[in-house]
Amino acid sequence: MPTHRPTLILAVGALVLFGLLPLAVMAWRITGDMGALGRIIDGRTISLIGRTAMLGTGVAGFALLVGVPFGYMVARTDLPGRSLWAPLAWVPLLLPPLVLAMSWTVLAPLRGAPMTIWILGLGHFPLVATFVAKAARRIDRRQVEAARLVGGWSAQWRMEWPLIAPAAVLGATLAFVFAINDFAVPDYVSSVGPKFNVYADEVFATWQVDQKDAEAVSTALPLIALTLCALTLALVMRRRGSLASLASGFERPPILRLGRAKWPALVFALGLISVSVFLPVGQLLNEAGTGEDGWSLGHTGSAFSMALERCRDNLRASILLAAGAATLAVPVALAIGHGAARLKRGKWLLAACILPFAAPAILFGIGQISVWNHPATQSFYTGDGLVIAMLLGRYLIFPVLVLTSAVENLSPRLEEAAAMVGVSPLARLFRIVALPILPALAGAWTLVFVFAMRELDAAILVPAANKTVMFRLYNAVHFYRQDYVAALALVTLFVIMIPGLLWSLFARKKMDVLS
Amino acid sequence: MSLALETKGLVLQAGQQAISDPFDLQVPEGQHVLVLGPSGCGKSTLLRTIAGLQPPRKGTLELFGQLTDDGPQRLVQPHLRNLGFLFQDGALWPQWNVEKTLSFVLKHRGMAKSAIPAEIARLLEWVELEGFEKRSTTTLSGGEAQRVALARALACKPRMLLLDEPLGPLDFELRQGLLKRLHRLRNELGLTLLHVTHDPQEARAYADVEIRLNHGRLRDPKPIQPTQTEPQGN
Repeated sequence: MPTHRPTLILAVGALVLFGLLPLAVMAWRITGDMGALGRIIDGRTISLIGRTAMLGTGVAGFALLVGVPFGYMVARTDLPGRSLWAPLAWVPLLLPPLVLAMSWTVLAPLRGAPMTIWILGLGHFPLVATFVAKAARRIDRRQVEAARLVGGWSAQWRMEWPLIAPAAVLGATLAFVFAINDFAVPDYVSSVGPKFNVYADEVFATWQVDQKDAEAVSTALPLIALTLCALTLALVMRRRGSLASLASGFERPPILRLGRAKWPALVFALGLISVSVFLPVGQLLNEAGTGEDGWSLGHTGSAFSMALERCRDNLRASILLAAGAATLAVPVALAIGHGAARLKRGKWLLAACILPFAAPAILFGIGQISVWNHPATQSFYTGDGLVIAMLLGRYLIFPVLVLTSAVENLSPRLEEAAAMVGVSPLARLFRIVALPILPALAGAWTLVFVFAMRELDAAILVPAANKTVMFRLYNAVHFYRQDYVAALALVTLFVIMIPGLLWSLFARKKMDVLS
Repeated sequence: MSLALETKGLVLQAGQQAISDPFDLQVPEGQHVLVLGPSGCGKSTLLRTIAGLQPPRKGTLELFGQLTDDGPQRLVQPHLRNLGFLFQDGALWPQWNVEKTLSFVLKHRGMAKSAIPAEIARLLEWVELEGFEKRSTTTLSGGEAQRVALARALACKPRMLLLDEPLGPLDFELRQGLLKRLHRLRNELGLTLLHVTHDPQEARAYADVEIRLNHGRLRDPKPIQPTQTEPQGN
């Protein structure tokens, strides 16, 4: 079924302009200074690559270790309160990693690599848990029963694991990518303990010192290669994971009775959510309410009042920028996602969308500056438009993946039937395709909003993004951490969580029914 | 003749709700029994209960003289009941090819690794799918998928096959082909067949007895008369 070409061209144009052009300009810069390539093989760079790979592997391993059992239990067992655990599992992903770092560096004396892995692992295990839960729910009941008839529980698990494993590896790979690109957490953990340098801050430091774009690019090349390898693996895994896609006549898989294992499983789930959500949030609440005479409700109230009073504009700016980026990203992603699902060579669109996310955030920010910091584009460069465009370009891959998957699950016959009665391609896209996948569109909007609200790594360089609440938090924790800062972190968290929880509670259920 | 299946006061359930009156049923070994009845009457639930995939509400169930269910208490796990199950649509595992699917079953059944390739070849010969070893299960046609599902069920060396409308999605020729194949296997291997179907006309040509479930009641088994056994075309 053909796509609406003008819409697809417009959408790809947005991707090229705001996602790929900054990278192309950065790549071009390196051709002017080939000597910069020499930095890739010096000893310091190699040791940085090792540390960064270790960080990413540690975070991915941690996410697998806790995310697989958690996701499977939530999806397929009679774990007490499992309907509550599923939305709660999203919360750590909504928490800005810097906020988790603020809490855990107070809660535990651990520092350096272990603390960084712990914080980023807690923040990103939901990627594994969510993908595993989704894959586990998509295995047909009859396939499970056929395995049970062959060899009981052991055959069932051995049959299911190959269907779940791609989802687990996909989640772990994304956790790896987020970890190796994260600038804020290693930077903050280093500021309160021994230095733990990773590649993301090295790229930032290199550029900050001399603002040589070519050196920033060459320093980042190994990191880009590492990220691209991981993301290619993620895409392959996504394709393998689609084996577990829902066929017609799909029957939900049976629920596994945990029996006596129910209580240890509950302790595990409660413990995981406690260390990733309740404890950090509790610590921030404690910090916000503690004055010279101990903790009090009055002090908590005044900390929140002060946070809102001082940072209202930052919050407003963050919400508007994130909502703007999400609102723009959804139609762009719908057009690209539809193309990716329906066109013969559509998978190349996915590959193109991945590139802006694969580049280190800092480098992506430098690229935006290189493209737009010119007299002719000065008003765009200093305005909100650039921030929205940058957020759109960087996070477009997430709504594109969500919507590609949603369109793939939608029968092409619906569009063919519409075409037969004369509905135009544009109307088919927005009336026939978009309406049945509204929950997926809401999910796509929420994802971009959440990531845009959390964004710090690229925004730290762009002047117009300096008014965001995450930038304010970053400065505040480094230079004058007062009690209102904890309150501000909690307010930010609350704002980020609202659409995520609404989607998790309402739209996600509808999406399950639709799929 | 010894019994393959015997129920006493068995009550089927869906969720927590009883969906049948108590019934007694006896199926001698080697018979081909058709299970008939309107949609939603509990035909599939009967097969799933016999397979141990869901418990009965009340009553007892014996397979080949062994008590397997006593009320909701399951005494024998599904994979230890000497049964094969043919699901509608095959329910093949999409992650593997035909060879891996069958070797997975044979390994779980404790077969020595060295004996597996020969056994796979034998199974595929039975279902007339020689040379299909490397085919992905997702690329098979409806008829091929059901024959691989049959090979998978036979790999467990069952004494009874439970057929849950396996012919539904197939066209007339494929249905006839699979029925003939099942009939031949039944005679060669001495299998008992419990066959749920919506369309009894074709299956009557090969079956011995039919039972009917209707409004929660199981009518007594009725032998199929030779006059009924002429297959009908579409």
